[in-house]
Amino acid sequence: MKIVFILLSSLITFSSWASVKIEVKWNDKLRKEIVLTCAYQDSTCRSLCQKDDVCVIEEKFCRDCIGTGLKMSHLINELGQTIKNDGRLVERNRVYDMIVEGNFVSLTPNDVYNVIDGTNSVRSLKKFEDLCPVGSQYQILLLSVDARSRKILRPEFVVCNYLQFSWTYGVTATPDLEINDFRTPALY
Amino acid sequence: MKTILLISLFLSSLVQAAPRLWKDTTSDLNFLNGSLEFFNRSACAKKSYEPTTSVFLIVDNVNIAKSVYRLAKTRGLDTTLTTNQGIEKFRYTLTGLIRLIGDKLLDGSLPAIPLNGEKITDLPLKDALLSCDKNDCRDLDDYLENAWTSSLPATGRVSCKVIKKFSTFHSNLRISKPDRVLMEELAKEMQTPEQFVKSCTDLSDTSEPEVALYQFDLADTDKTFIRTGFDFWNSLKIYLSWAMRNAPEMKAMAQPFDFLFQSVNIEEMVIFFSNGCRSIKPAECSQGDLNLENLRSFTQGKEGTDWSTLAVNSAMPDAKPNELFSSPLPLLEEDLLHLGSQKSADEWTNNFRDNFIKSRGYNKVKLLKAVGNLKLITDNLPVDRILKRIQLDTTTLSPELKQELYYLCSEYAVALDEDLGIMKENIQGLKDVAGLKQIVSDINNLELDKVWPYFTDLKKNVSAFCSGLKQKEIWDDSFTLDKKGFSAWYMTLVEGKKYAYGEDLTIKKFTSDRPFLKIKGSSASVCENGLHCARLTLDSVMSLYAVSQSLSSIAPAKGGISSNMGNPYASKVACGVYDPWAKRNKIIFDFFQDMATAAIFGMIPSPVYVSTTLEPKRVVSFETIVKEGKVFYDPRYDKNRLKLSLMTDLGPLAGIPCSVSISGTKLNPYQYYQFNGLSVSSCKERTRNDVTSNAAQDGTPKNDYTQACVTCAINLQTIAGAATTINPAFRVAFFVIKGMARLIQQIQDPNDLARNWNLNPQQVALAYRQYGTISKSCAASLARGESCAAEACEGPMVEAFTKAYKASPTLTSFDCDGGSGKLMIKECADPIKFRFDPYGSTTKLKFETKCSLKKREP
Repeated sequence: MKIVFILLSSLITFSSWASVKIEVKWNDKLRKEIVLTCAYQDSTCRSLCQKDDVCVIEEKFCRDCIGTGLKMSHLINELGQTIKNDGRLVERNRVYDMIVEGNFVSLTPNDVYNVIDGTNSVRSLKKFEDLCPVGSQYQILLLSVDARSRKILRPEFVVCNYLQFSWTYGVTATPDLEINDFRTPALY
Repeated sequence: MKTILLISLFLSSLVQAAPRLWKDTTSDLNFLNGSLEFFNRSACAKKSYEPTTSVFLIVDNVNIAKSVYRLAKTRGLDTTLTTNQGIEKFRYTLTGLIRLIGDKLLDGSLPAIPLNGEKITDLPLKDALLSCDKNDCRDLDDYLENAWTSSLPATGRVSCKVIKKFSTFHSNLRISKPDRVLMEELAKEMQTPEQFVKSCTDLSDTSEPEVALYQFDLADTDKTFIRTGFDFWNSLKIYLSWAMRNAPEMKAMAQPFDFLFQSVNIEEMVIFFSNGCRSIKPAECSQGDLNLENLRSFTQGKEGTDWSTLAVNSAMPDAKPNELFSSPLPLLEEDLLHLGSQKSADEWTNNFRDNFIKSRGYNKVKLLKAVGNLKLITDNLPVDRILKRIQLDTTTLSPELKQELYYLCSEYAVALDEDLGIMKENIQGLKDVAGLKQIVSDINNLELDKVWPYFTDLKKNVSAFCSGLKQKEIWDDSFTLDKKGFSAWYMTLVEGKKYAYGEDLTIKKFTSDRPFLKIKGSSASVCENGLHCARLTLDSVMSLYAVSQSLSSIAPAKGGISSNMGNPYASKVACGVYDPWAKRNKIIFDFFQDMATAAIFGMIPSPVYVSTTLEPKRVVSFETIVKEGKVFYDPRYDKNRLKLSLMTDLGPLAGIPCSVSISGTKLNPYQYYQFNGLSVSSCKERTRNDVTSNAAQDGTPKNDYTQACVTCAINLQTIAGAATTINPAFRVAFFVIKGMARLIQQIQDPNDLARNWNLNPQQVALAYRQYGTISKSCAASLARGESCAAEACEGPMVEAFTKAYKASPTLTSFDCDGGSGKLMIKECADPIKFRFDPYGSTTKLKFETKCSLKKREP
């Protein structure tokens, strides 16, 4: 119910996000790229790459992303658990700035970088689904990386794609907790 | 003089050298570069101080294969074809880069990165390495980039082979001394080397997509390599780590997968280990190095690996390397790397990978869980809040809670126990381990500096709470403890329980519908009640401790893991448990003592003399030291190195030639001892030759021992004793004989007196082909690195010739004094005629032939 509320409120408040769709692709040269598709009369693509409809931005490499190192293992294992959508829509310029600067890396369900979960594993798909409100077709997690070392710093945003539209939320690694100071009488 | 020389030359020219037909000419003669060095235990242990010129590389391709497979799927490409291409390219790129870096380093085109930071005079490099140790490697990357850009093309001195099957080519890893059987086997296997090795540039076969095993050999290293070798291997790994992500050569070699390979966590996919007794890095008595000792146990076959006995997987590993000084010293013949038990190198490598990955994954999960729990609990539950909840939980106790409370108090009591010293010796040390601090901070920003005060406060409060409980009322006679609920570390420490792979080690919790700590929206709780939260905190700290023992494999240092696992003595020498010089020192000591005794006995007729025995230092314990964030162990030795025994010849007293030795006492070598009333009859028999006296009384000074071992044996020593009545010159002679006998006996020690053999495979192959077998005397020559050819000049010349050209000898006829020789080979119908200076070098080739010979590739 809450998620639906978030979705509705975001539809009203940040309608401009709806006019740009974000996708992650691997091109012919086997490089990863972010494709921004702008709706008719949306100026985002023009301001980002001087094109009217599509911007293609090549990702730089992601240090240690193909592997089972501690950072990557923690990230993949905790997706949807302690790494969660913070429920707040993000100003789109923040996301575009990060993409244009290039200090980011994207992760999608079944990502080439995810060697921890099996291909098409239900668990992996569920982790990403849990990052977005219900109904999202696919999700893109955007993580900031160190400009020089290309090491992952932290998860920043999650892009939730719905048909032709996208909404982006902040991501937190310090989730809200419930603390109950009272014992359950029934058990004892 | 000149005339004599000319006459001898003339006479020798008249002698026609008899042609000798070679026995085995069925196949072509192959050439194996380098030599095989064999070392016995002591020599092998000594060699651990020297840098190796040959290493193995284990490459784990699994993650590459997974990524390329997904990429092929995403792009709609043929998954099998693309995956195989990706693996081939990865292996080609990795081995190509290693050779390139190695060549540049050997040529001096790339500056070496010294292993010892104190030796670095280049200040920018020193600063860059220091920052990199603190997880900021940007300056180091810049330094490496500059060095790489200004480096020149290098010559090919690093060779690379793919190991397909272990053979006699690697017999140095499991044999101390080569014998004729081994040599014959080596010669036979050299005829079909393609069964065992292939070139790294041969990409024809990726039948084993998961793993690969390579061997890299350095050629033409000079004497300075003994000083610079460790820096070479250290530099190679650091440059490799950089080059795999940044070098233009890598991008060219890896096309079209270069972008993908840049993202590979290369450090966790490669393991270097030295081939043989020399080391890839200086062995040290550190936690990191000792942890890597476990790698050897991962070479066991699937059936042979007992997961539960591996210390690295223990829920509560031993704090100090006690096993090192309690386990017997192995011999290389025990095949500690299990090379003989696997059908192929692929099978061996695959099996190693399975064991290694399983163990590393197990410890990674343990670490991640512990860090996750500590982060959530310490950030959100102040200690007083946990205590309040514990008090609330225990106001009325259900049977389950009684159990849980028992676990809580027992676990904290054991953890805090002074005698066990877990907190003091093990856990306290953790806060100084720099690697651990950085690793947990990288995972989820957990700050260990905040965890320790929190934990100290918690344990103090839990301990006080438990002390205040009315124990007899809570755990009355009706209470039965269910031990299954104890945490795994507790059961390991207290009950000695060992856990099998896959067993659930999470602590038992009693669920409630209102858990104490829970992530909003999540179905699972972090901890259910105060008792559970306190136990989970302790359990997580214990897990951190357990995992800290295997940090070197969980989070490999710059450039990946390097191990000296080819040498089973390296760590034992580093930790002082084995002294490879001990036996030699003892022999010298004994011999000098025997000679001194002989000299003294020549002068004085007294039958009493003091005998001393040099015993090797013995490690009795280790002290833990944390230095620059690394845990080291400092061995503690027993001080009693010189054992004194008082020897008196009692032959005339007892009527038989018998010497008595009294040992194990605190004797002062500067004082004489006399014996009153000691008789053989008062002794009790212990073994066939030993008798024990319980009533030994000594005169001045009075001694406080009550038991002494008196040895009566008929041996050279006794004969010498009996000879005291004879002429002094003969007495000296007897003791010289005794000394010599002891010397001869001692120098026959096959293991602890350093010995090494250098086998030249080319000489072995030539000898086998020439005679069709290797005789005992030929084997002895070969083991000394000498040829078995009939003529002195023949061996070196044929060896040099077959090394340079593809040639398989069928007949030889050499006249060494005349400076001529004839060689028939399979590859040419006409004889090859040699001319050489009989008094000059025999390896300088000067020959005539009508055939065009094919040169061997380097």
